[in-house]
Amino acid sequence: MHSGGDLTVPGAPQESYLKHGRGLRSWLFTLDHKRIGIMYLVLIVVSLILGGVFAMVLRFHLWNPSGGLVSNDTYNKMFTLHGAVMIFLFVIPGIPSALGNFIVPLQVGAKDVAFPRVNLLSFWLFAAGAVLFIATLVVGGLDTGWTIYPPYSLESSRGLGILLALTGVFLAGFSSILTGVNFIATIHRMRAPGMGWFDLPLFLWALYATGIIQIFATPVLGITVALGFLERLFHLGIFMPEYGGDPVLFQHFFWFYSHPAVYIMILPAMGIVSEVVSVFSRKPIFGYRFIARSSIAIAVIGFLVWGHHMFVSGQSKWVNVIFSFLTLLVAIPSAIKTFNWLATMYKGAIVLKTPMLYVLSFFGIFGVGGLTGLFLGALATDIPLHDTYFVVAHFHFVMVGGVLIAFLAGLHYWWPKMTGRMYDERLGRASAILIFLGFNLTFIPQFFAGLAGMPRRYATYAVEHQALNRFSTAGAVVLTLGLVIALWGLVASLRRGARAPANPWGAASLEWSAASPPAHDNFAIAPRGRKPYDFTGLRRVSDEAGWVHAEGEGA
Amino acid sequence: MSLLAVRIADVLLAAGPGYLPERASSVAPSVDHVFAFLFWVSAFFLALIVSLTILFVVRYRSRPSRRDPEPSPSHDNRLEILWSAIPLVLVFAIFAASTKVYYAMTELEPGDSPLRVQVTGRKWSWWFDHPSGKGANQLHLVAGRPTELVLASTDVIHSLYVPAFRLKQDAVPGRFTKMVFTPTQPGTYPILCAEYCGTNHSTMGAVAVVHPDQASFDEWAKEGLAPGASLVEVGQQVYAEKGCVACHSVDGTPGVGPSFKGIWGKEEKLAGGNTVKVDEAYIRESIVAPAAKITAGFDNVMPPIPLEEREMQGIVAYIQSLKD
Amino acid sequence: MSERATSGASTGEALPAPARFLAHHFSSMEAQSETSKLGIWLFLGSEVLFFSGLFTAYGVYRANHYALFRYAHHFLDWKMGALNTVVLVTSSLSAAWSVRCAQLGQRRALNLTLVLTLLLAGTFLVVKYFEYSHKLHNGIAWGAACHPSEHILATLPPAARAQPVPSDLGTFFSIYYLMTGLHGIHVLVGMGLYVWLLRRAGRGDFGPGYYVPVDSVALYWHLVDMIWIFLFPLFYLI
Repeated sequence: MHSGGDLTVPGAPQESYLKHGRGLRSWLFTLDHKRIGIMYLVLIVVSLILGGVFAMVLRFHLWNPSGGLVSNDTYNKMFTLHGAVMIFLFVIPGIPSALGNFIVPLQVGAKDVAFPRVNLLSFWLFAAGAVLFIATLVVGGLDTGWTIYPPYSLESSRGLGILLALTGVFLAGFSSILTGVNFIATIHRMRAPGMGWFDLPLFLWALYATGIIQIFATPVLGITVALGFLERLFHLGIFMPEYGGDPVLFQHFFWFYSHPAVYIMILPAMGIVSEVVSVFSRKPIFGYRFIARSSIAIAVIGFLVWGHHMFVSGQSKWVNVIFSFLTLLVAIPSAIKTFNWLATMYKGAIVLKTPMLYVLSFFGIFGVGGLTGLFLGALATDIPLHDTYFVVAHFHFVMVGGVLIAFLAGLHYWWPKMTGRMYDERLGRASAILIFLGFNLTFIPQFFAGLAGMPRRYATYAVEHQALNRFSTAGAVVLTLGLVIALWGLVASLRRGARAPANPWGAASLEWSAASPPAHDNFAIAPRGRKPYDFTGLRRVSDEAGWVHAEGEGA
Repeated sequence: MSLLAVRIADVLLAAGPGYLPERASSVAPSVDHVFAFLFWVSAFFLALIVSLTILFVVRYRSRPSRRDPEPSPSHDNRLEILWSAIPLVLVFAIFAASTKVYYAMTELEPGDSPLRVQVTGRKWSWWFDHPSGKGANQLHLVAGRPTELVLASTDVIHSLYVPAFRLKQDAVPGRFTKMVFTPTQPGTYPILCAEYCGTNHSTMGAVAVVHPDQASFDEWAKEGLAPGASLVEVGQQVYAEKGCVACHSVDGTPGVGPSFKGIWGKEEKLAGGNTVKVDEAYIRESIVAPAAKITAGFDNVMPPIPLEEREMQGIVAYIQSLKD
Repeated sequence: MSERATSGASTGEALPAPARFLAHHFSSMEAQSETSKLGIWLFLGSEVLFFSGLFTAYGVYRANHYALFRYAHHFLDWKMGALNTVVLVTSSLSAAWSVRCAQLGQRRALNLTLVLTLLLAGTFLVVKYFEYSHKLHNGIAWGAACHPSEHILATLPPAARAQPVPSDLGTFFSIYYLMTGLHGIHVLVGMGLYVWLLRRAGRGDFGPGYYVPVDSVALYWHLVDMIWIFLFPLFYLI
């Protein structure tokens, strides 16, 4: 099949990366960023499914106020592992490792990331961390909440699960640091000639900002879990009051990473939104420089707000006031992005394909997620709402409604490039709509439950919250159905999907000049940078051949 | 807040999402007003985002007759400033309103001596030691009387949450934390634990009983002591049995260490020239790390004394009872 | 570096030595070197944050247990600490020198300076071994396991001997063992890196066109040295 759009001598098709080297070893020990990305994608989707199974146990158990599906202890283990698996194995690594690894070198016009062997090491560290998390199930599970606060988490009656989990987090964290190093070095130094900083696709700005956070925040998580590990084994006296330690110190260490971590989650998602909204409005992104700078602003300010998770921990009033102020400030760059995205659609020519449907969902859902963050950054409202279902709803709105939805948008958007196949558009649309409806039905009731005073991490609850919980459970079923259809549609396209042209969407960033799927070396002729949102030279030939550059640059 | 603003806020709140519990503390109405402000600001922006999204999708959808976008600028600095400045102003307003209410939530209302209750969280129940020595697993309060809860935990972190008061505070082992408020209406209000603490976290509830007046509270307090000694009695026992009596008198005579009589609430002079207020945090420190602050005129000879949390609370209560 | 370009265009002749190490995804040796340097600096940034958690813990504990810290530091022998400081600073000198030798293609001097760095690092660990074993033999462990023997208490200066032994002495030593232990692990890793460099230097890999691995490891080593330069006064002197 003619690879079309590939920057090669016309008529000389290159072997795709999928065929370059055969056998399990050629995948497990590959240095090709594309194969590493695919391996990450598999593990990450498996983690999503596993975390989702835990979530469904929770929601079915909460159908009745007195529970009854599982014991309290099992419920507590389920919510702990749901959180830990989703956060450490899906939301944090998802977009950077599964999509970023594949796309970053293509978008800068390079043959690979800066440090391919470090990239492979990242993958194996991540896989090892994932195995350790699963191993906690085998030794009896973990019931500390994903936030593992001492003294509860480090009590000797907790069993060995905590040690496995802490080690797993350490390894996954190290993987994240190395990914950040790789992306920053790649984006900083391996851009194609002619690609200045403000010629970068915004996905790369997003991953650059994310890399900063990965490198400078994750080590603090590393030392925190190492200290927790040692405290548990050797009673050092750092976090446990009975040995002279301070449990609130743990919270500072933990949130110093875990708050910036949420920006590791959302910044790449916002990068995808910028790409998709522009391509599917056929218009350059509005306010490019403001969006780029706001990513950096979010990364920097995001380091200064961790204390808003600790407003009732016993820290002083003044500390609370300062963190509240900074937290409310960090909303501004996100608002700027949202308005710029909307302005991109203004007077555009909007194409409602699956990636765009997901992005349209993102606007409303992330809007709610971000706005409800204000309630939690403001002290007066946070005090009653902290540790209630309001918080649970807020973070699911941003993590699921924000990150998962953007992940699905990106996955569908780049699916033709990664696999050489077009997914089924009807299945894609159906999944987007079901996920939007299911998501809202699941999580909007939880805001009200929190307002009414239902705390989080409750295996049983007051009967007055029953209706809200039942709506939420019903919504979860719809959401699951939508996700199943999305994944099914994508997997099925590997066999049945139409062959994808190099540029099925008419996008202008460099990855669309490589073949679908790309050759092992991405581009046979080193590309030159070009304006990533300038669609004027592109014209659509057909479904099979996709879009081409009118100036005859490549076939 | 002016009366008009309060009225407007209440109307907006009534029109808002509902689901808020009844208001039973002096700060609950203000908290709800901040909530109303946030709610309507958020509702406005959400409506704006959603309606613009729908409007643009409908109006600018790609059709066979409309394959290309209409010309429009790719950036507009004035717009950027506008939609940065307006949220910034709103953020400042939210911060100001919320912080003002937060101060009210964290300061005792002026008045005569506040009602001081020791709260102990443990897996999986609450215990409340009221003045007059009455301990109970329900929190008894007096409507209109400013109250100070001193929270402690004997094992892991718990959190005392009273939705009707709009208040919450963690109980952290190894330290004392405080919650201050004035209950405003008699009744009973649920108390929940809001920091995950293990198997029965979700059933670690209690009830706040607000008596209509002090007399009713005193009636209750006289009704036979609950099982277990009062905190002051615990403290007396610790004083005698753990050796404090060897160096600290309770009648004012200085010994090897300062007398406990009358020191609660005093500004104590330290060896270095600084002063420190004698409160529960200082007492705790003096027991676990006595060398940290040495009272002027005394030597650094006190060894650290390991005490359980209940014993710690007892000593605090006992010393407090010795004030003039 | 990943796959290596092994030959020139069509004649099959061997490329000049440095190009052996030019990875296929870099356009030039210079691009590769600059990127590698950026990579190591970023990684060192993460190491600084890794240690800063511990330095923060130190700060918090010192502020809240001031008397304890002033008492407990007498258990540390400042002369051994000072010796180790001199050892590490000298090893940083030899590390920097080794980079210069690689840049100038002085193979013998390169080997010498690499060996010297390795030996000094080993010396540091030997001194640490003596310090640790002396303490552990005298009951000075971490946390609740800290029970100083009469023997070691007798070695304290008179003013400290007069005070009762604080019950939270173990907290100080937890932080001491944690920070010096983590630092020691980094020294050990550094030694492993220098062994690796010695093997490659022996094969003649390094020269004016290619010395980035020597430079990167030396940068790592300087950071390890710098961390010690903070640890020494914080524990031994104040």
